[in-house]
Amino acid sequence: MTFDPSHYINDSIRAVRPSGIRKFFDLCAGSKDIISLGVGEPDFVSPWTIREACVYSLERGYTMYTSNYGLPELRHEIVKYLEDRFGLSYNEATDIIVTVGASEAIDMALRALISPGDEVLIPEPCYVSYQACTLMSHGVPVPIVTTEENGFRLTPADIEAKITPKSKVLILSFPNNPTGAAMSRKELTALAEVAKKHDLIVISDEIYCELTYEKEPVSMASIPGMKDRTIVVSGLSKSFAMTGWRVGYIACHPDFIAEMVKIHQYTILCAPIMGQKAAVEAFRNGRKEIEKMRAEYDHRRRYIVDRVKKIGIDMVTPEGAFYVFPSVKKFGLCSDEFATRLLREQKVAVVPGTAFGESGEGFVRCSYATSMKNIVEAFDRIEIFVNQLRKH
Amino acid sequence: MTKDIKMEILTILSENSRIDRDTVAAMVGCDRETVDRLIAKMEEERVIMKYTTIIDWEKINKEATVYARIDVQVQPQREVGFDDIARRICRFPEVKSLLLVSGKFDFAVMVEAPTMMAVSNFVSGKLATIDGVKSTWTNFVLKKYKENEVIYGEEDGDHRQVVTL
Repeated sequence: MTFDPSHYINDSIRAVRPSGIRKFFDLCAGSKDIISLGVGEPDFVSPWTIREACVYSLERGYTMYTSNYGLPELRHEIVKYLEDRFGLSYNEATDIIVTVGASEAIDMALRALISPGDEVLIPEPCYVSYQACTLMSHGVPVPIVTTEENGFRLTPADIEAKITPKSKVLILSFPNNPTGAAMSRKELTALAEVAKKHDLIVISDEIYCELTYEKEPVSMASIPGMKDRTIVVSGLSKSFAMTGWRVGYIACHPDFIAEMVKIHQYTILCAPIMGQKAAVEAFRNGRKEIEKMRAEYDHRRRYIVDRVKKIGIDMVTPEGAFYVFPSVKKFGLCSDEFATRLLREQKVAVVPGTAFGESGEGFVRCSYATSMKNIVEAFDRIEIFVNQLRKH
Repeated sequence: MTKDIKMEILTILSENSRIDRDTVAAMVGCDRETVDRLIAKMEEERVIMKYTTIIDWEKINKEATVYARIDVQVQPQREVGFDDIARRICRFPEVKSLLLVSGKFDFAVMVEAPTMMAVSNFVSGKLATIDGVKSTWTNFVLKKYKENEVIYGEEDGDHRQVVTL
Protein backbone atom coordinates (compact mmCIF):
# COMPACT_ATOMS: atom_id res chain seq x y z
CA MET A 1 0.00 0.00 0.00
CA THR A 2 1.37 3.40 -0.94
CA PHE A 3 1.59 6.06 1.66
CA ASP A 4 -0.92 8.86 1.01
CA PRO A 5 -0.47 11.88 3.28
CA SER A 6 -3.78 13.42 2.19
CA HIS A 7 -5.51 10.46 3.77
CA TYR A 8 -4.52 11.75 7.18
CA ILE A 9 -5.60 15.36 6.77
CA ASN A 10 -8.37 16.65 8.98
CA ASP A 11 -11.59 17.33 7.06
CA SER A 12 -11.95 20.93 8.12
CA ILE A 13 -8.47 21.77 6.83
CA ARG A 14 -9.13 19.90 3.61
CA ALA A 15 -12.27 22.00 3.13
CA VAL A 16 -10.20 25.18 3.04
CA ARG A 17 -9.40 26.26 -0.52
CA PRO A 18 -5.84 27.32 -1.22
CA SER A 19 -5.46 31.02 -2.02
CA GLY A 20 -6.71 31.88 -5.51
CA ILE A 21 -3.79 34.05 -6.49
CA ARG A 22 -1.06 31.45 -6.72
CA LYS A 23 -1.55 31.30 -10.48
CA PHE A 24 -1.09 35.04 -10.81
CA PHE A 25 1.94 34.98 -8.69
CA ASP A 26 3.51 32.37 -10.94
CA LEU A 27 2.53 34.25 -14.10
CA CYS A 28 4.13 37.44 -12.75
CA ALA A 29 7.25 35.69 -11.55
CA GLY A 30 8.26 34.79 -15.10
CA SER A 31 8.08 38.20 -16.75
CA LYS A 32 9.77 41.55 -16.45
CA ASP A 33 8.46 45.11 -16.72
CA ILE A 34 5.26 44.24 -14.94
CA ILE A 35 3.50 47.06 -13.16
CA SER A 36 1.79 45.55 -10.20
CA LEU A 37 -1.50 46.85 -8.89
CA GLY A 38 -1.78 43.55 -7.12
CA VAL A 39 -0.02 44.27 -3.87
CA GLY A 40 -2.03 44.27 -0.67
CA GLU A 41 0.45 46.15 1.46
CA PRO A 42 1.74 49.73 1.66
CA ASP A 43 4.48 50.81 -0.73
CA PHE A 44 5.96 52.92 2.06
CA VAL A 45 8.72 51.49 4.18
CA SER A 46 8.04 51.67 7.94
CA PRO A 47 8.98 55.20 9.10
CA TRP A 48 12.62 55.44 10.18
CA THR A 49 11.84 56.41 13.75
CA ILE A 50 10.07 53.04 14.14
CA ARG A 51 12.87 51.02 12.56
CA GLU A 52 15.46 52.87 14.62
CA ALA A 53 13.59 52.19 17.86
CA CYS A 54 13.65 48.47 17.08
CA VAL A 55 17.37 48.50 16.35
CA TYR A 56 17.98 50.33 19.60
CA SER A 57 15.89 47.83 21.55
CA LEU A 58 17.98 45.00 20.09
CA GLU A 59 21.18 46.79 21.05
CA ARG A 60 19.83 47.11 24.57
CA GLY A 61 19.22 43.37 24.68
CA TYR A 62 15.43 43.19 24.42
CA THR A 63 15.28 39.71 22.96
CA MET A 64 13.10 37.94 25.52
CA TYR A 65 9.46 36.84 25.81
CA THR A 66 6.91 39.39 26.86
CA SER A 67 3.73 38.89 28.87
CA ASN A 68 1.20 36.78 26.95
CA TYR A 69 -0.92 39.90 26.74
CA GLY A 70 1.95 41.92 25.26
CA LEU A 71 4.29 44.57 26.64
CA PRO A 72 2.47 46.69 29.24
CA GLU A 73 3.75 49.90 27.64
CA LEU A 74 2.39 48.82 24.28
CA ARG A 75 -1.01 47.94 25.73
CA HIS A 76 -0.96 51.35 27.38
CA GLU A 77 -0.31 53.02 24.02
CA ILE A 78 -3.02 50.96 22.30
CA VAL A 79 -5.61 51.94 24.91
CA LYS A 80 -4.58 55.59 24.65
CA TYR A 81 -4.80 55.48 20.87
CA LEU A 82 -8.24 53.82 20.83
CA GLU A 83 -9.54 56.43 23.23
CA ASP A 84 -8.02 59.32 21.35
CA ARG A 85 -9.05 58.17 17.89
CA PHE A 86 -12.41 56.47 18.45
CA GLY A 87 -13.50 57.60 21.92
CA LEU A 88 -13.23 54.02 23.22
CA SER A 89 -12.34 53.18 26.78
CA TYR A 90 -10.52 49.94 27.53
CA ASN A 91 -8.54 48.67 30.51
CA GLU A 92 -4.95 48.03 29.50
CA ALA A 93 -4.55 45.27 32.08
CA THR A 94 -7.56 43.18 31.11
CA ASP A 95 -9.00 44.16 27.71
CA ILE A 96 -6.10 43.94 25.27
CA ILE A 97 -3.96 41.21 23.72
CA VAL A 98 -1.10 42.08 21.39
CA THR A 99 -1.22 39.57 18.54
CA VAL A 100 0.91 38.44 15.63
CA GLY A 101 -0.82 40.72 13.16
CA ALA A 102 -4.56 41.17 12.88
CA SER A 103 -4.57 37.74 11.18
CA GLU A 104 -3.87 35.94 14.44
CA ALA A 105 -6.49 38.08 16.15
CA ILE A 106 -9.16 36.98 13.66
CA ASP A 107 -8.25 33.32 14.09
CA MET A 108 -8.18 33.62 17.87
CA ALA A 109 -11.51 35.43 18.06
CA LEU A 110 -13.23 32.86 15.86
CA ARG A 111 -11.71 29.91 17.68
CA ALA A 112 -12.76 31.32 21.02
CA LEU A 113 -16.36 31.89 19.92
CA ILE A 114 -17.27 29.14 17.48
CA SER A 115 -18.58 25.74 18.49
CA PRO A 116 -19.10 23.17 15.72
CA GLY A 117 -22.01 24.20 13.52
CA ASP A 118 -22.21 27.84 14.63
CA GLU A 119 -22.76 30.20 11.74
CA VAL A 120 -20.51 33.12 10.95
CA LEU A 121 -21.97 35.88 8.78
CA ILE A 122 -19.32 37.14 6.38
CA PRO A 123 -19.97 40.08 4.07
CA GLU A 124 -18.39 39.40 0.68
CA PRO A 125 -16.34 40.17 -1.33
CA CYS A 126 -13.85 40.21 1.51
CA TYR A 127 -10.38 39.39 2.65
CA VAL A 128 -9.64 35.70 2.35
CA SER A 129 -9.03 34.65 5.92
CA TYR A 130 -12.51 34.94 7.46
CA GLN A 131 -13.98 32.01 5.63
CA ALA A 132 -10.86 29.88 6.09
CA CYS A 133 -10.57 30.62 9.82
CA THR A 134 -14.27 29.87 10.28
CA LEU A 135 -13.85 26.49 8.60
CA MET A 136 -10.76 25.74 10.65
CA SER A 137 -12.81 26.52 13.79
CA HIS A 138 -15.47 24.01 12.61
CA GLY A 139 -17.91 26.83 12.02
CA VAL A 140 -20.15 27.42 9.04
CA PRO A 141 -19.34 30.46 6.94
CA VAL A 142 -22.45 32.23 5.66
CA PRO A 143 -21.57 34.74 2.96
CA ILE A 144 -23.59 37.94 2.71
CA VAL A 145 -23.12 39.43 -0.72
CA THR A 146 -22.62 43.18 -0.76
CA THR A 147 -23.49 44.77 -4.06
CA GLU A 148 -22.25 47.46 -6.36
CA GLU A 149 -25.69 49.11 -6.12
CA ASN A 150 -25.20 49.62 -2.37
CA GLY A 151 -21.61 50.74 -2.85
CA PHE A 152 -20.49 47.40 -1.37
CA ARG A 153 -21.74 48.59 2.01
CA LEU A 154 -23.62 46.21 4.26
CA THR A 155 -27.29 46.91 5.04
CA PRO A 156 -29.47 45.61 7.90
CA ALA A 157 -31.71 43.87 5.35
CA ASP A 158 -28.68 41.99 3.94
CA ILE A 159 -27.97 40.58 7.41
CA GLU A 160 -31.60 39.86 8.27
CA ALA A 161 -31.92 37.75 5.14
CA LYS A 162 -29.20 35.38 6.34
CA ILE A 163 -30.08 35.08 10.03
CA THR A 164 -30.86 31.60 11.36
CA PRO A 165 -31.06 30.25 14.91
CA LYS A 166 -27.42 29.18 14.45
CA SER A 167 -26.11 32.68 13.60
CA LYS A 168 -23.56 33.65 16.20
CA VAL A 169 -20.93 35.96 14.80
CA LEU A 170 -21.00 38.80 12.30
CA ILE A 171 -17.71 39.82 10.77
CA LEU A 172 -17.34 43.41 9.69
CA SER A 173 -14.36 44.56 7.69
CA PHE A 174 -14.66 48.20 6.77
CA PRO A 175 -12.86 49.94 5.15
CA ASN A 176 -12.93 46.86 3.01
CA ASN A 177 -10.34 44.88 1.15
CA PRO A 178 -10.99 44.47 -1.82
CA THR A 179 -13.86 46.92 -2.45
CA GLY A 180 -12.62 50.03 -0.63
CA ALA A 181 -16.09 50.53 0.86
CA ALA A 182 -16.32 52.29 4.22
CA MET A 183 -19.27 52.60 6.60
CA SER A 184 -20.50 55.78 8.27
CA ARG A 185 -21.55 56.05 11.91
CA LYS A 186 -25.19 56.14 10.85
CA GLU A 187 -24.85 53.00 8.76
CA LEU A 188 -23.01 51.16 11.52
CA THR A 189 -25.69 52.20 14.01
CA ALA A 190 -28.31 50.55 11.83
CA LEU A 191 -26.25 47.33 11.70
CA ALA A 192 -25.77 47.48 15.46
CA GLU A 193 -29.54 47.25 15.95
CA VAL A 194 -29.60 44.01 13.98
CA ALA A 195 -26.65 42.63 15.94
CA LYS A 196 -28.39 43.38 19.23
CA LYS A 197 -31.75 42.06 18.05
CA HIS A 198 -30.25 38.70 17.05
CA ASP A 199 -27.68 38.57 19.84
CA LEU A 200 -24.72 38.49 17.45
CA ILE A 201 -21.13 39.02 18.46
CA VAL A 202 -19.37 41.33 16.01
CA ILE A 203 -15.76 40.77 15.07
CA SER A 204 -14.84 44.13 13.60
CA ASP A 205 -11.67 44.03 11.54
CA GLU A 206 -10.59 47.68 11.57
CA ILE A 207 -7.12 47.24 10.13
CA TYR A 208 -7.75 49.83 7.38
CA CYS A 209 -9.52 52.29 9.68
CA GLU A 210 -6.80 54.97 9.46
CA LEU A 211 -7.12 54.90 5.70
CA THR A 212 -10.61 56.37 5.51
CA TYR A 213 -11.14 59.26 3.11
CA GLU A 214 -13.77 61.98 3.07
CA LYS A 215 -15.28 60.82 6.34
CA GLU A 216 -14.18 60.20 9.90
CA PRO A 217 -13.21 56.63 10.73
CA VAL A 218 -15.65 54.97 13.12
CA SER A 219 -15.18 51.89 15.28
CA MET A 220 -18.15 49.55 15.66
CA ALA A 221 -17.34 49.34 19.37
CA SER A 222 -18.05 53.06 19.71
CA ILE A 223 -21.70 52.66 18.65
CA PRO A 224 -23.85 52.87 21.83
CA GLY A 225 -24.55 49.46 23.29
CA MET A 226 -21.98 47.70 21.08
CA LYS A 227 -18.78 47.77 23.10
CA ASP A 228 -19.46 44.57 25.05
CA ARG A 229 -20.50 42.57 21.99
CA THR A 230 -17.79 43.86 19.66
CA ILE A 231 -14.34 42.36 19.32
CA VAL A 232 -12.13 45.02 17.80
CA VAL A 233 -9.35 43.57 15.66
CA SER A 234 -6.69 45.88 14.32
CA GLY A 235 -2.97 46.35 13.94
CA LEU A 236 -0.17 48.53 12.70
CA SER A 237 0.44 46.88 9.34
CA LYS A 238 -1.55 49.21 7.11
CA SER A 239 -1.69 52.42 9.11
CA PHE A 240 2.01 52.61 9.97
CA ALA A 241 3.27 50.61 6.96
CA MET A 242 4.47 47.82 9.25
CA THR A 243 3.22 44.66 7.53
CA GLY A 244 6.29 42.53 8.03
CA TRP A 245 6.56 43.27 11.74
CA ARG A 246 3.43 41.25 12.48
CA VAL A 247 1.96 43.36 15.23
CA GLY A 248 -1.78 43.47 15.73
CA TYR A 249 -4.11 43.61 18.66
CA ILE A 250 -7.50 42.65 19.93
CA ALA A 251 -9.60 44.85 22.22
CA CYS A 252 -12.79 43.58 23.83
CA HIS A 253 -14.66 42.52 26.96
CA PRO A 254 -12.24 41.11 29.59
CA ASP A 255 -14.16 37.82 29.78
CA PHE A 256 -13.50 37.24 26.07
CA ILE A 257 -9.87 38.20 26.58
CA ALA A 258 -9.51 35.72 29.44
CA GLU A 259 -10.54 32.87 27.14
CA MET A 260 -8.71 34.06 24.04
CA VAL A 261 -5.45 34.53 25.85
CA LYS A 262 -5.40 30.77 26.45
CA ILE A 263 -5.25 30.18 22.72
CA HIS A 264 -2.57 32.83 22.30
CA GLN A 265 -0.57 31.55 25.26
CA TYR A 266 -0.49 27.92 24.13
CA THR A 267 0.06 28.50 20.43
CA ILE A 268 2.05 31.71 20.10
CA LEU A 269 3.11 32.66 23.63
CA CYS A 270 3.62 36.28 22.65
CA ALA A 271 4.13 38.53 19.64
CA PRO A 272 7.86 39.05 18.96
CA ILE A 273 9.29 41.66 21.27
CA MET A 274 11.12 43.48 18.45
CA GLY A 275 7.85 44.21 16.73
CA GLN A 276 6.23 45.23 20.00
CA LYS A 277 9.05 47.66 20.81
CA ALA A 278 8.73 49.14 17.33
CA ALA A 279 4.97 49.44 17.80
CA VAL A 280 5.42 51.44 21.00
CA GLU A 281 7.52 53.94 19.06
CA ALA A 282 4.95 53.99 16.25
CA PHE A 283 2.17 55.04 18.59
CA ARG A 284 4.36 57.53 20.46
CA ASN A 285 6.09 59.26 17.58
CA GLY A 286 4.80 57.88 14.32
CA ARG A 287 1.25 59.14 14.13
CA LYS A 288 2.06 62.17 12.03
CA GLU A 289 3.49 59.78 9.44
CA ILE A 290 0.03 58.22 9.12
CA GLU A 291 -1.31 61.60 8.03
CA LYS A 292 1.35 61.96 5.35
CA MET A 293 0.74 58.50 3.97
CA ARG A 294 -3.03 58.91 4.01
CA ALA A 295 -2.75 62.22 2.13
CA GLU A 296 -0.66 60.52 -0.52
CA TYR A 297 -3.00 57.53 -0.87
CA ASP A 298 -5.88 59.97 -1.17
CA HIS A 299 -4.19 61.81 -4.06
CA ARG A 300 -3.73 58.53 -5.87
CA ARG A 301 -7.32 57.46 -5.13
CA ARG A 302 -8.75 60.66 -6.57
CA TYR A 303 -6.57 60.40 -9.64
CA ILE A 304 -7.73 56.82 -10.28
CA VAL A 305 -11.42 57.63 -9.75
CA ASP A 306 -11.12 60.43 -12.31
CA ARG A 307 -9.08 58.37 -14.74
CA VAL A 308 -11.31 55.29 -14.56
CA LYS A 309 -14.33 57.47 -15.30
CA LYS A 310 -12.57 58.98 -18.32
CA ILE A 311 -11.60 55.56 -19.62
CA GLY A 312 -15.25 54.53 -19.27
CA ILE A 313 -14.96 51.76 -16.71
CA ASP A 314 -17.76 51.40 -14.14
CA MET A 315 -16.59 51.70 -10.57
CA VAL A 316 -17.95 52.51 -7.14
CA THR A 317 -15.97 55.39 -5.62
CA PRO A 318 -13.93 53.80 -2.84
CA GLU A 319 -13.81 55.57 0.52
CA GLY A 320 -11.15 53.61 2.32
CA ALA A 321 -8.16 51.24 2.29
CA PHE A 322 -5.94 51.43 -0.83
CA TYR A 323 -8.01 49.50 -3.33
CA VAL A 324 -10.39 50.22 -6.16
CA PHE A 325 -12.74 47.51 -7.37
CA PRO A 326 -13.82 48.32 -10.91
CA SER A 327 -16.42 46.28 -12.77
CA VAL A 328 -15.21 44.50 -15.89
CA LYS A 329 -18.60 43.01 -16.73
CA LYS A 330 -19.20 45.10 -19.82
CA PHE A 331 -16.03 43.88 -21.50
CA GLY A 332 -17.40 40.38 -21.89
CA LEU A 333 -14.67 38.63 -19.95
CA CYS A 334 -14.83 36.98 -16.56
CA SER A 335 -12.58 38.43 -13.84
CA ASP A 336 -9.97 35.76 -14.21
CA GLU A 337 -9.75 36.11 -17.99
CA PHE A 338 -9.63 39.88 -17.77
CA ALA A 339 -6.80 39.79 -15.23
CA THR A 340 -4.88 37.09 -17.09
CA ARG A 341 -5.08 38.85 -20.43
CA LEU A 342 -4.27 42.23 -18.93
CA LEU A 343 -1.17 40.70 -17.44
CA ARG A 344 -0.14 38.91 -20.65
CA GLU A 345 -0.98 41.69 -23.09
CA GLN A 346 -0.20 44.85 -21.15
CA LYS A 347 1.87 43.58 -18.23
CA VAL A 348 -0.31 45.05 -15.55
CA ALA A 349 -1.04 42.81 -12.59
CA VAL A 350 -4.44 43.12 -10.88
CA VAL A 351 -6.24 40.53 -8.77
CA PRO A 352 -9.45 38.89 -10.07
CA GLY A 353 -12.39 39.66 -7.81
CA THR A 354 -13.12 35.97 -7.41
CA ALA A 355 -10.07 35.67 -5.15
CA PHE A 356 -12.29 37.43 -2.57
CA GLY A 357 -15.34 35.20 -2.88
CA GLU A 358 -17.67 34.15 -5.68
CA SER A 359 -19.46 37.48 -5.50
CA GLY A 360 -16.25 39.10 -6.71
CA GLU A 361 -16.97 37.75 -10.20
CA GLY A 362 -17.15 40.62 -12.66
CA PHE A 363 -14.66 42.78 -10.78
CA VAL A 364 -10.91 43.14 -10.38
CA ARG A 365 -9.02 44.61 -7.47
CA CYS A 366 -6.42 47.27 -8.21
CA SER A 367 -4.22 48.38 -5.36
CA TYR A 368 -2.91 51.94 -5.34
CA ALA A 369 -0.18 51.14 -2.89
CA THR A 370 2.33 52.03 -5.58
CA SER A 371 3.88 55.24 -6.90
CA MET A 372 1.92 57.82 -8.91
CA LYS A 373 4.28 57.15 -11.79
CA ASN A 374 3.33 53.47 -11.79
CA ILE A 375 -0.35 54.26 -11.40
CA VAL A 376 -0.37 56.63 -14.38
CA GLU A 377 1.50 54.12 -16.53
CA ALA A 378 -0.70 51.22 -15.38
CA PHE A 379 -3.90 53.06 -16.28
CA ASP A 380 -2.44 54.13 -19.64
CA ARG A 381 -1.97 50.45 -20.34
CA ILE A 382 -5.40 49.51 -18.98
CA GLU A 383 -6.92 52.12 -21.29
CA ILE A 384 -5.20 50.55 -24.30
CA PHE A 385 -6.33 47.12 -23.17
CA VAL A 386 -10.02 47.97 -22.73
CA ASN A 387 -10.08 49.95 -25.96
CA GLN A 388 -8.88 46.84 -27.76
CA LEU A 389 -11.55 44.76 -26.02
CA ARG A 390 -14.20 47.25 -27.15
CA LYS A 391 -13.17 46.86 -30.79
CA HIS A 392 -13.80 43.12 -30.78
CA MET B 1 -10.76 75.38 1.09
CA THR B 2 -8.61 77.11 -1.52
CA LYS B 3 -5.81 77.17 1.03
CA ASP B 4 -6.10 73.39 1.52
CA ILE B 5 -5.97 72.82 -2.23
CA LYS B 6 -2.97 75.14 -2.48
CA MET B 7 -1.19 73.14 0.22
CA GLU B 8 -1.99 69.91 -1.57
CA ILE B 9 -0.72 71.27 -4.87
CA LEU B 10 2.49 72.46 -3.22
CA THR B 11 3.04 69.08 -1.58
CA ILE B 12 2.67 67.36 -4.94
CA LEU B 13 4.92 69.85 -6.77
CA SER B 14 7.58 69.72 -4.07
CA GLU B 15 7.87 66.02 -4.77
CA ASN B 16 7.75 66.30 -8.56
CA SER B 17 7.50 69.72 -10.18
CA ARG B 18 7.30 68.21 -13.68
CA ILE B 19 4.10 66.35 -12.97
CA ASP B 20 1.38 66.82 -15.57
CA ARG B 21 -1.16 69.51 -14.54
CA ASP B 22 -4.16 67.35 -15.45
CA THR B 23 -2.83 64.68 -13.12
CA VAL B 24 -2.46 67.26 -10.35
CA ALA B 25 -6.05 68.37 -10.92
CA ALA B 26 -7.32 64.80 -10.59
CA MET B 27 -5.19 64.19 -7.51
CA VAL B 28 -6.52 67.19 -5.62
CA GLY B 29 -10.04 66.81 -6.96
CA CYS B 30 -10.59 70.05 -8.86
CA ASP B 31 -10.52 71.14 -12.49
CA ARG B 32 -7.46 71.91 -14.57
CA GLU B 33 -8.31 75.63 -14.81
CA THR B 34 -8.36 75.97 -11.03
CA VAL B 35 -4.97 74.29 -10.72
CA ASP B 36 -3.50 76.54 -13.43
CA ARG B 37 -4.95 79.63 -11.78
CA LEU B 38 -3.74 78.72 -8.29
CA ILE B 39 -0.25 77.84 -9.51
CA ALA B 40 -0.03 81.07 -11.53
CA LYS B 41 -1.08 83.04 -8.47
CA MET B 42 1.46 81.30 -6.24
CA GLU B 43 4.16 81.93 -8.83
CA GLU B 44 3.22 85.58 -8.95
CA GLU B 45 3.27 85.84 -5.15
CA ARG B 46 6.60 84.02 -5.16
CA VAL B 47 5.20 81.28 -2.94
CA ILE B 48 6.52 79.10 -5.73
CA MET B 49 9.91 80.66 -6.27
CA LYS B 50 11.52 78.44 -8.83
CA TYR B 51 11.22 75.00 -10.44
CA THR B 52 14.53 73.28 -10.12
CA THR B 53 16.25 69.92 -10.31
CA ILE B 54 18.29 68.04 -7.78
CA ILE B 55 21.37 66.75 -9.56
CA ASP B 56 24.08 64.44 -8.38
CA TRP B 57 26.88 66.49 -9.98
CA GLU B 58 29.51 64.03 -8.87
CA LYS B 59 28.06 61.53 -11.33
CA ILE B 60 28.25 63.80 -14.35
CA ASN B 61 31.03 66.25 -13.57
CA LYS B 62 34.52 65.13 -14.45
CA GLU B 63 35.99 68.24 -12.91
CA ALA B 64 35.37 68.12 -9.21
CA THR B 65 33.38 70.86 -7.56
CA VAL B 66 34.37 72.04 -4.11
CA TYR B 67 31.75 72.89 -1.53
CA ALA B 68 32.38 74.69 1.71
CA ARG B 69 30.44 76.11 4.57
CA ILE B 70 31.88 79.43 5.65
CA ASP B 71 30.92 80.52 9.13
CA VAL B 72 30.99 84.29 9.26
CA GLN B 73 30.97 86.62 12.21
CA VAL B 74 29.85 90.17 11.43
CA GLN B 75 29.21 93.46 13.11
CA PRO B 76 25.48 94.22 12.73
CA GLN B 77 24.78 97.75 11.60
CA ARG B 78 22.48 100.37 13.02
CA GLU B 79 18.91 100.25 11.62
CA VAL B 80 19.58 97.51 9.07
CA GLY B 81 21.03 94.90 11.44
CA PHE B 82 22.34 91.95 9.44
CA ASP B 83 20.30 92.56 6.29
CA ASP B 84 22.65 94.84 4.42
CA ILE B 85 25.69 92.62 4.80
CA ALA B 86 23.60 89.54 4.01
CA ARG B 87 22.45 91.09 0.74
CA ARG B 88 26.01 91.94 -0.24
CA ILE B 89 27.17 88.39 0.42
CA CYS B 90 24.18 86.88 -1.41
CA ARG B 91 25.09 88.59 -4.67
CA PHE B 92 28.25 86.51 -5.22
CA PRO B 93 27.47 83.62 -7.56
CA GLU B 94 29.74 81.37 -5.49
CA VAL B 95 27.25 81.68 -2.64
CA LYS B 96 24.63 78.94 -2.94
CA SER B 97 22.81 79.64 0.28
CA LEU B 98 23.07 82.04 3.18
CA LEU B 99 21.51 81.56 6.58
CA LEU B 100 21.49 83.75 9.68
CA VAL B 101 22.03 81.43 12.61
CA SER B 102 22.22 81.62 16.39
CA GLY B 103 25.41 80.60 18.19
CA LYS B 104 29.05 81.57 17.99
CA PHE B 105 28.87 83.04 14.52
CA ASP B 106 26.18 84.86 12.56
CA PHE B 107 26.03 83.58 8.99
CA ALA B 108 26.36 80.09 7.58
CA VAL B 109 27.35 80.64 3.95
CA MET B 110 27.30 77.66 1.58
CA VAL B 111 29.86 78.24 -1.15
CA GLU B 112 30.58 76.32 -4.33
CA ALA B 113 33.65 76.77 -6.55
CA PRO B 114 35.73 74.68 -8.95
CA THR B 115 38.80 74.27 -6.71
CA MET B 116 39.89 74.67 -3.12
CA MET B 117 42.06 77.54 -4.26
CA ALA B 118 39.03 79.26 -5.79
CA VAL B 119 37.11 78.92 -2.53
CA SER B 120 40.02 80.24 -0.56
CA ASN B 121 40.45 83.17 -2.96
CA PHE B 122 36.77 83.97 -2.66
CA VAL B 123 36.89 83.93 1.12
CA SER B 124 40.06 85.93 1.54
CA GLY B 125 39.56 88.24 -1.42
CA LYS B 126 35.82 88.92 -1.38
CA LEU B 127 34.05 87.71 1.71
CA ALA B 128 36.48 88.63 4.48
CA THR B 129 37.05 92.10 3.06
CA ILE B 130 33.39 93.15 3.18
CA ASP B 131 32.84 96.00 5.60
CA GLY B 132 31.42 94.62 8.83
CA VAL B 133 32.78 91.08 8.44
CA LYS B 134 34.85 90.40 11.56
CA SER B 135 36.05 86.87 10.98
CA THR B 136 35.50 83.72 8.88
CA TRP B 137 35.94 79.99 9.40
CA THR B 138 36.08 77.81 6.30
CA ASN B 139 34.78 74.23 6.51
CA PHE B 140 35.25 72.19 3.34
CA VAL B 141 32.59 69.60 2.56
CA LEU B 142 34.11 66.14 2.37
CA LYS B 143 31.09 64.20 1.21
CA LYS B 144 27.41 64.84 0.68
CA TYR B 145 25.01 62.28 2.11
CA LYS B 146 21.68 64.02 1.98
CA GLU B 147 20.47 67.26 0.49
CA ASN B 148 16.97 68.64 -0.08
CA GLU B 149 15.48 65.50 1.42
CA VAL B 150 17.24 63.32 -1.12
CA ILE B 151 19.75 60.71 0.05
CA TYR B 152 22.68 60.51 -2.38
CA GLY B 153 23.42 57.23 -4.11
CA GLU B 154 20.65 55.37 -2.40
CA GLU B 155 17.72 53.82 -4.19
CA ASP B 156 15.53 51.63 -2.02
CA GLY B 157 14.00 49.04 -4.30
CA ASP B 158 10.51 47.60 -3.92
CA HIS B 159 11.07 44.40 -1.99
CA ARG B 160 7.41 43.40 -1.84
CA GLN B 161 5.99 40.32 -3.52
CA VAL B 162 4.29 41.11 -6.82
CA VAL B 163 0.83 40.00 -5.74
CA THR B 164 -0.52 39.66 -2.21
CA LEU B 165 -4.07 39.62 -0.87
